[in-house]
Amino acid sequence: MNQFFNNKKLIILLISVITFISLIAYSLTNNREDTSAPQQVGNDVTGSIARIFSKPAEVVANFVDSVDNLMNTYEENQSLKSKIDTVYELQVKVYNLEQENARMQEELELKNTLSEYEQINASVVSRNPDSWLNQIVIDKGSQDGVAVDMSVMAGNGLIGRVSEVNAISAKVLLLTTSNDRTNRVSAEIQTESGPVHGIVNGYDEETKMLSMSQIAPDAVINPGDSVITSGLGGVSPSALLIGTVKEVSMDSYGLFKQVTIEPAGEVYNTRFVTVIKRLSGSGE
Amino acid sequence: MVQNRSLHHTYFIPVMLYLLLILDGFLINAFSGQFVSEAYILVPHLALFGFVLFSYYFPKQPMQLYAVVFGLLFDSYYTGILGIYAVAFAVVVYFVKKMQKYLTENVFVLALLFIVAIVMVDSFVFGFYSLMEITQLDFSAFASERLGPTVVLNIVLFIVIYYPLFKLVSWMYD
Repeated sequence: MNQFFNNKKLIILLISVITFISLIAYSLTNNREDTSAPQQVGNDVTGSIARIFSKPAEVVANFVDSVDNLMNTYEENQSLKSKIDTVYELQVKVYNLEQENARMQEELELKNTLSEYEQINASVVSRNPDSWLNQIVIDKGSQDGVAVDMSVMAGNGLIGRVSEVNAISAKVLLLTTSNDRTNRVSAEIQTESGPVHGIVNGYDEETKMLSMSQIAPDAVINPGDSVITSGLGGVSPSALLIGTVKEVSMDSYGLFKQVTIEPAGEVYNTRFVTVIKRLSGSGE
Repeated sequence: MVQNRSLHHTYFIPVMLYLLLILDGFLINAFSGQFVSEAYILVPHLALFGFVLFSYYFPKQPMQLYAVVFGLLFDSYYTGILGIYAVAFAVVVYFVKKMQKYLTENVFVLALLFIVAIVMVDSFVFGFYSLMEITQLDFSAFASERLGPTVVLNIVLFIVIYYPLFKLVSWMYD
């Protein structure tokens, strides 16, 4: 017994293992709503310094992009010209529908519908280097109104949700994280015969497709249909684009349909994101 | 190198480690389209290289302390799961310090140590995340899609970054 306690190295090893396990347990049970103060300070300071690197890179990338755009101008112009006629038509239609919608909302005395939201623009500072948990760090935090679980968009579509908030920075967990427990979005498919509900709950790294399950087996879904958030999960507003349907199949039990989705959001090389703040209260 | 020469400006060690840590996240963010593809996933390990290099050349410095502090910062900033990289970095520093006594000082030995450190850290993190069911990948897929390509990328990074950091080390030694 005495000899055991004399063995200093063993004691140190024991203490470190205990500390290690309790730290992990602490962060796994506590990392969602409130981050501890020293962690917040460390994250914010690191985030601010990381911005010194990311800002010039942004400028360079923007320049490369604009040169790239210039090269394609002619072809783009041709295809845009052919599309522009339909745009006018659509504009008139949308204006008409919006007016009608506003009038109806007034009549029904609706305050905030599920589809209303505010936007907070942010730029991406860093990304988790080991890519197991696909997380990015953005340069807006609780001071700008960002809160845990808000939806985050980039490019044209949804890319993830806020997983941790510090004072002037926040972490976003991307939809591409393969762990399906943490990343579920209640979604609906806009089909010809009306909306079809389901849950987006997985990502295939090999094909770069999202998967959606729990869809009623008799639903008629065509490839090319748009998938949007339904807003029924209580966190995200409705009508945020997730992607378009690529393939439809039955799941392995033959009980539900499942769908693979081509994501509309920019998941890689993301430089700017939009955090979506839902206006109507969460249904919890 | 010259062990008995005096060392100055040791504050450069934590500063460089901090910058390398930030550079990791910056690199993967700037090149995420190139680093992450269907066939492979590349992980830059510049912070790890910093730990290997400094504990190889400055075994008398409190590298274990730096490993724990910057490891915790790494965890807190990138994933929010505290402790994984802190332990991984501390073990690597301990390992390099032990090995340093028996090895000659040589670029290739350092590169070899770096590769061994990458394999150690990545396997540890992979094992841990499998345990927590964050990943469902099996070991052979992990080795071919992640570990192998990552080692190749980091050899390239090593070639780029070794000389300037070596210059810094030599400057700190006289």
